[in-house]
Amino acid sequence: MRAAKPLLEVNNLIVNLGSKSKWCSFKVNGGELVWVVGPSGAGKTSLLRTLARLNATISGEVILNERDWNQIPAAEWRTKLLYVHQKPVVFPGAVETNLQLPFTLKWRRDSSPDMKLAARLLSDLLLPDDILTRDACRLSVGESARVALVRSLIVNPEVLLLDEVTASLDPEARSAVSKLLKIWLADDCRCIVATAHDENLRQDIPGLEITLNEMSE
Amino acid sequence: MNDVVPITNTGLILTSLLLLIAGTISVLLRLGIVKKLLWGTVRCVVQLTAIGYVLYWVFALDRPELIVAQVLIMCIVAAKTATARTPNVSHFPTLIAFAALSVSTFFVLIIVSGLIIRAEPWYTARITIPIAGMILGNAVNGIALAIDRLYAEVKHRKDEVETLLTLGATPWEAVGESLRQAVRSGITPIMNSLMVVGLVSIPGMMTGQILGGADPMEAARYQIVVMLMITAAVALGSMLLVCLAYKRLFTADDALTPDL
Repeated sequence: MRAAKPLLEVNNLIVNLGSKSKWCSFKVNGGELVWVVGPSGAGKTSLLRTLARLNATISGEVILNERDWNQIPAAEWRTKLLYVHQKPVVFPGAVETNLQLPFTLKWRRDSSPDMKLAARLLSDLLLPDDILTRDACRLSVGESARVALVRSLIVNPEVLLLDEVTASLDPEARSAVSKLLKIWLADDCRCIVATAHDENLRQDIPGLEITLNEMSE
Repeated sequence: MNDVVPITNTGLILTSLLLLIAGTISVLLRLGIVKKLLWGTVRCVVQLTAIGYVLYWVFALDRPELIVAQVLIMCIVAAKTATARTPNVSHFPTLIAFAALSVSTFFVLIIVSGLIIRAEPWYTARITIPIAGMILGNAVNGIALAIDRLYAEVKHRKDEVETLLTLGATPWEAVGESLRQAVRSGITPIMNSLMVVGLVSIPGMMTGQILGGADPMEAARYQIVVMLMITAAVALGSMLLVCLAYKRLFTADDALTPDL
């Protein structure tokens, strides 16, 4: 039985695209994925960034687990809705240090990373066994993207905001990612909002497809 | 100070002859710096002569409120200069630079004058005004470098800063590395002078004292105090500055400002 209330609810959210604005409304239930589709420059990334409160909005309502986003401080909100950059960002130091980094920050200092889980996720994503000790800055883009994804998964957000997560991956790694995301979604208190130009991926993980609407006035 | 060798007017004119020679050569080589050279010379002579008269007057009166006012004016000019010298930043508020400069200057000034030199009273103009000038002359550079580096670093590390934000960092945590780099950049020039002082450079103050007839050993002791107090003031000023400035990089909702 699904909960009656959606996990994430977006009502008339205005997305600022610099020269103009667009808007959208949608709902995502626990365990579901929503694809944001449209041509390049349609504002897909801006929508994800607005949801993560990295971009400012003029108006709109976003409700997570029946809590309005205005009631939650930005830093805490971002721990619940985690945006993953299209261009993967890793920090100087070993991959292991990168994965532990979120747990050195004030909001998560009380918890510690599940490194066993991390190691399993890394190998599920076809990364070699010695990856944890390697220098993160010397990884390829495709490897960095997967490390960044694992870093996002082990902090256990409620909503993953994925921006072209498979853009830099070969077909094998891509299907490993899609398999992993499907497992991640098996938990009913999580959902994903994602963009992907890759139609195979969209067919692989079916979900509601939404576009951003032009402002009527 | 009885054995100070006075500089006669003829001496001053002769000094400007030196610049005349340099100027003539630069004209021959078409370096295009004559105007700047001339303007710089005029400003140097006018500003220093004027400050000579002002100091004469301030020293004679030796009133605390006058001295505090003069140091504050020096801080304002320093803050304006510092915020104008930042290629990576436009419209940085002078008030923040002023706060960082004045707090660090007064803090170091009071300790040096009151506890180290033991001036009686601590605000004695003959001691406080030159010290404030020494500190601010160096702090202007330090603060300007720190402001500029702070913005340059955050611009350069935009993705890193945002990734940290998405992982739940507070603004302070997200720009931590940039703040460290900015402070480091602010204190680099004074650190460099600490390394070479005495070996390569004999600082202006010490030169002045020795030329004026002071014992080199005494001059060296004074110079140590001066160098260390300048370093302390520049470091404190730079740290204060980044603490006051970093919030301006963020919106009210703790995201990076779009107009960075």
